[in-house]
Amino acid sequence: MLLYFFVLLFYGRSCCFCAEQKGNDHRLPPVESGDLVFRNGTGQWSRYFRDVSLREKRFSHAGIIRVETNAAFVIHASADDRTGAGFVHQEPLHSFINPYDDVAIYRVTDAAKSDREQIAVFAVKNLGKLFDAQFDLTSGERYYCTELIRDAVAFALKTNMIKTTAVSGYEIIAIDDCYAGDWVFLIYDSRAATVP
Amino acid sequence: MIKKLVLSGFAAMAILFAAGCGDSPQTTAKVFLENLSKGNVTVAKKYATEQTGEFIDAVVEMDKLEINPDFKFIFIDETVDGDFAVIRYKSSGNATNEIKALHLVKTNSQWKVTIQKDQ
Repeated sequence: MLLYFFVLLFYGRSCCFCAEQKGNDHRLPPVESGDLVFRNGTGQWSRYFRDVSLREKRFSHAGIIRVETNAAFVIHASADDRTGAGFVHQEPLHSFINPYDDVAIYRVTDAAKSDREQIAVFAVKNLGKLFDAQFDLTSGERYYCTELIRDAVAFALKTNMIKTTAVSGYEIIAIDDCYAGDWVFLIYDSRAATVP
Repeated sequence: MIKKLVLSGFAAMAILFAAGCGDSPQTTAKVFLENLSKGNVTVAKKYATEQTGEFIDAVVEMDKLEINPDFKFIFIDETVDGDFAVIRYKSSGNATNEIKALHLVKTNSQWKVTIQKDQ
């Protein structure tokens, strides 16, 4: 009877966790703070964000996952249609990946969980910073999505893992710069539709 | 006297025309998209928020602005919620015949195109 109770308790908690993260079709594995999430938007401007990637023109936006008491969030820098001036903000992972069909999540390879958590810590520290619509890497005061990821990863790992891409002489951190190389590994890919 | 009347008439028309710029989401969307697709960035930016203008400048610097002289705005519908609006449209120059959405925000009594969060 006691065993049955614990099975029910565990099963119940697991389902709650999954339901929090599961979207229409996204059956995610357990995510952790510091994981990096990518999505392919369908909006008016999405193609511009996709097109600057040179290796894989797949995703148009990215964010940093933060897990807190069984709830998963994404911290990301984006424009905002309501205020006209976007900023670094947090939203539930569920709403970040839905209704987008094409989503992937990467995790830093060979780093302690506590180090990976520092990626999210950096993101939290920068909540509220203005969105950088000029994509200016020298500003330091404003962030665009991949710029936030680059600085967060550099802060956590004490080294700069993410390189820039030159687009007509314009230095930018493209979306695919954030998952190029074996310093990260894929933990979820909507195209594969399986949980590794 | 007649000359003065004519001049006043032209002045009034100019004021009305200027005031009319961006006075409806549909008009703003149409003028913005038609100018942007022709590469008239300076004009297009007048119908966009400051942040969107900065974004367009960056796109131009990266040489990523797509020019489509054949673009023709085909209005589908609009949703207005207070100071926010979404225009759905198609382009006659779009081979896929895809319906797209453009977000707008009302600032200082004028509708402006804005980058939406749906990146």
